[in-house]
Amino acid sequence: MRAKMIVEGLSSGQHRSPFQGFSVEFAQHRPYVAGDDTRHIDWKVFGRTDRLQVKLYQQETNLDLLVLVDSSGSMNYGSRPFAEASGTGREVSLDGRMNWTKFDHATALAAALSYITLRQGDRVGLVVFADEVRMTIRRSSGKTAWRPIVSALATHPDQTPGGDPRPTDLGRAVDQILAGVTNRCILAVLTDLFTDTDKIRDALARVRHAGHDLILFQILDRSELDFPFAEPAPFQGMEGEPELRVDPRMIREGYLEALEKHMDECKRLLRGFNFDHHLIHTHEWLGPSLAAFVARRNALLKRAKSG
Amino acid sequence: MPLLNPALFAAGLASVIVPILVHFLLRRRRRPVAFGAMRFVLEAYRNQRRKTKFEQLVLLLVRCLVLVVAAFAVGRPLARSGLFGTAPGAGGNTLILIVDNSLTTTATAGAVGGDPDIAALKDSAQRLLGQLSTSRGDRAALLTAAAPIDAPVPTPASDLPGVMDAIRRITPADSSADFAAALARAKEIISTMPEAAQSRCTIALCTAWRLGSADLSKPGVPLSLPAGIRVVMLPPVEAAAPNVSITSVEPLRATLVMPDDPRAADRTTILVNVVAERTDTAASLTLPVRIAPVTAGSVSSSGTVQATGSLVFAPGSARASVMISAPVPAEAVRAGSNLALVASIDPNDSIAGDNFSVAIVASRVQLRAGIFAQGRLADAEGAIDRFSPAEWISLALSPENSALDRKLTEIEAVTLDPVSAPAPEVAGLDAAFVVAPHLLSERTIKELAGMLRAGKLVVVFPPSQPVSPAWADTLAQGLNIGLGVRREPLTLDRPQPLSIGQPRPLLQPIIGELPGLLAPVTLTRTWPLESVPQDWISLLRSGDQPVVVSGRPPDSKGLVIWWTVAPDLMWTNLPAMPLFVPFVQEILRQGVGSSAGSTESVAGLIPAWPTSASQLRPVDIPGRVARPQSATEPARTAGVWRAIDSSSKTLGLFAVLPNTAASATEPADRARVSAWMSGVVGSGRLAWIDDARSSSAGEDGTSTQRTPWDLWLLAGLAAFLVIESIVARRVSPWAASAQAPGLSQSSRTEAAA
Repeated sequence: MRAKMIVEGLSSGQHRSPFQGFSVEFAQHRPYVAGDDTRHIDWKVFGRTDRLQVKLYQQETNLDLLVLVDSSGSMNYGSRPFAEASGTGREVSLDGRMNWTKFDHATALAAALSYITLRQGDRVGLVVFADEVRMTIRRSSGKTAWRPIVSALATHPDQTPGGDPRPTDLGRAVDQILAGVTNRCILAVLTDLFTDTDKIRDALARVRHAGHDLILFQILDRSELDFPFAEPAPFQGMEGEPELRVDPRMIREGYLEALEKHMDECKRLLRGFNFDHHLIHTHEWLGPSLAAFVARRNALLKRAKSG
Repeated sequence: MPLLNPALFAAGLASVIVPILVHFLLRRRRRPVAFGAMRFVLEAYRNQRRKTKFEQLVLLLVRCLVLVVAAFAVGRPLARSGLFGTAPGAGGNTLILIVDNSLTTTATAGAVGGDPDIAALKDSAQRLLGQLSTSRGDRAALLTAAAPIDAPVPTPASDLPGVMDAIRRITPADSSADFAAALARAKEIISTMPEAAQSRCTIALCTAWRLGSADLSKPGVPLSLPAGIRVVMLPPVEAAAPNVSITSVEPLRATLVMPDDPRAADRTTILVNVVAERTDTAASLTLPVRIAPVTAGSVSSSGTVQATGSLVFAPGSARASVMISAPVPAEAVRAGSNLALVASIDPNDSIAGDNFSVAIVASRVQLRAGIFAQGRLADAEGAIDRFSPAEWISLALSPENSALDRKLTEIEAVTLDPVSAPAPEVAGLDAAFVVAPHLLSERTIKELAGMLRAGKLVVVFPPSQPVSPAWADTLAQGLNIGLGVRREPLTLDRPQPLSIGQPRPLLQPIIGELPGLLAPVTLTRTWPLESVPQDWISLLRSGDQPVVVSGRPPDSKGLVIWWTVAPDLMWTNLPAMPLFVPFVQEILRQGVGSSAGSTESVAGLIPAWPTSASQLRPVDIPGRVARPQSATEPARTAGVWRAIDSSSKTLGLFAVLPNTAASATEPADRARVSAWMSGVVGSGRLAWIDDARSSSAGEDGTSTQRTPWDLWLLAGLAAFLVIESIVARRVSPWAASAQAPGLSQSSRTEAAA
């Protein structure tokens, strides 16, 4: 529901429309709604009818979307209260969590991306991965394709409390995915990228070699970005790391340095393969990320049409 | 290393535990924090671990060092200047100050109520000290002269302000001064210094030279000080100060025997003789005297004033005495306990420390006397002319009081077989009356000797019948008394009268009646003594011959009273005379009290408490606040003290009397002082400090500076504090936090771009 709301919100013109940059073949008209790009208004029709109509174009090529959602242990972390983030009015999640985790954020984003793509008439598939592919939903299109995706994300066992925390192995997951994908598609990877950069590089290289495109949404919690902790305490990792008792104020500077260095390296790798990277933190609105996805998708389509 | 404030130094050192405890307390348990980006936490920790741990360790170390240095600075070590590069004795002068704090230093020079001598002496000592300079490497030591001497600064110290503080803290004692011991100690200090330093050493004697301070009548022992040492001394004061002192408190009875009988209430008072002396004899003087009984725990709960009397000094008289009847609180009397009588006066004189004196009185419910004789004693109903010596003694010890229709029970007299008296019974006696000494077995003689060692009384009468004379030698040797007895008794041609010898203290209670009671007494037979030890006294004499002598064996504290006449009508009519009962009773009561040994000592002199005592605790110290002290040295403060052993068991009350001989305020003249001091230290090195009392500090252009120790300590403290601030700032988490903004800000900026 949240994903739909996000998408519809975008559609209602509150944010830049994700439907801009359509394909070049005219298909039909539809009434103008606030927020539509005025370049697509058919002025001839207006002159004739005094009604604003927007030209719709037919896509000449289909571009499948494969949404890859990281369900590793670290994605189960979040500091934002669930009640504030979910928009559902509930204080806790269905599985009893008080906080809105990165996985929740990834779920919402994945659902929104799927919705947008399905409305375009393209196929969407879902892969949930951690150290390997944990679950797959085959690509399909149509109205009935969205619900299974959302349902699968909402009830994934890796994110239930007490679930087995697994580390992220993007390379292995990519290997497993690419083995089953034959046509060109966009891989939208939703992850915190808490894995070795070597493995990230290998995964990106395989995706590029296979001819696919990739847009990576790095989802982090705001507290992971700012490290606001003040009291000495034992810190426990969520992917089997050893517990460490430390005064966070003593290591904050070093932590931020290490995180920034990792993020910069990841960005550099992605740029090097000409893939998009978007950093999202769990306290942020998803709209800009969705807009970025749509822009990317349209650019790909345009490129494909022009050969 | 001696410290001026060892307690503060110890407290400062102990406070080092505080930062260490804080260091561990900060590690208290907290709830774990699950964190997604743990890999970066670990990476940051790994990178910073060594540096952070090192910095935190340095910080902890610096903080501990700050406290240690502060402890030293507060403790004020009295260090030798050689520690900081100045070689010991190289270049500096050494001053050994001897400050008189004996009883006469409490005398006020000039008018009563002015400053006491000790204030001026301390002032003079401080002025002398003020002429030293730490920059020259000068050092000072400090001794006090009241016996036994003390050494507040026992070795020359470069911490001159510390020595100054020690001078300020000197308090007067109740004893006389012992300049000989103080000078000998000064010589010991000098002997530990290098030879080069000894020639720059000065001994300064700060005393008013009142005759009470030091006995200049006897020449001092020459010290043979090394060459080059100077001895300077303050000149004598100009005039004596008016003073009245209580010289003694003499209870008529050293032992109170008070049966637990309400009808004996009339015996709950004792007579106390107070003797006082004064220096100013110009006019008559009447002084009230207060007697306050003191028990082992505290001053009597019956109130502060128990008895009063008045000392009356006639014009021109330096001595006065008064007899006071002092009631004794019933609760203060328990079998085997001691009672202290504190007599005090308030003459508004120059020395307050000698305005009181103390006497210790033992209290007993009953005395037990053993009569060593054979045969049963008659019931005293038969003809007295047939009474045996034992029967006479028994009658004298326990006469009946027909008015009360009972026997007086303070004295229990038992008859013991001289051959086989049971040892436990003998050990339980307070006194032994030996009327058949020729029958004593060797074992019984040993037990009698044991009684003497235990501080008991043994009264010996010669046999009333003809016997071999060997008994006398055997008994004298067995008791270890150096009496020589004639081989056989002597029958006198005609009855000889008796005269009083030295009746005090044994016959003190009847001394007034003694001449009258003695008048009708005659001797007809005697067993004379050929030799009597020099320190023995004759209580009664007949002509020039002693009849009753008393003394102590060399190895015992008990008392022997040896009669040369048997209590037999064939020898003397004494048993049938009124004198006999009181005489025998008094030698028993007084003898028991006397034989127990003295419980009094003079401040600064040999203590009277037993060697088993480990500590003295103050019970009543008039005019002073005294702290418990070790029993291994004499007490300097007069008053009533309680001696305890190592298991805290009370051994008894003991009186430390002011040394009234040390309260003579008349000053010695310069010539006499010079002569005496020349005999001790040599004439060529003496000098008077005539200007010391009028000069002010710093007039000679020098001043006492902070010692190198203090400078270094303060500098070290400041340096450590600076280091601590720097390191704390570096490792401070707040500093680190303030420098690094979060990445969410930068990500937002990038997104906007």
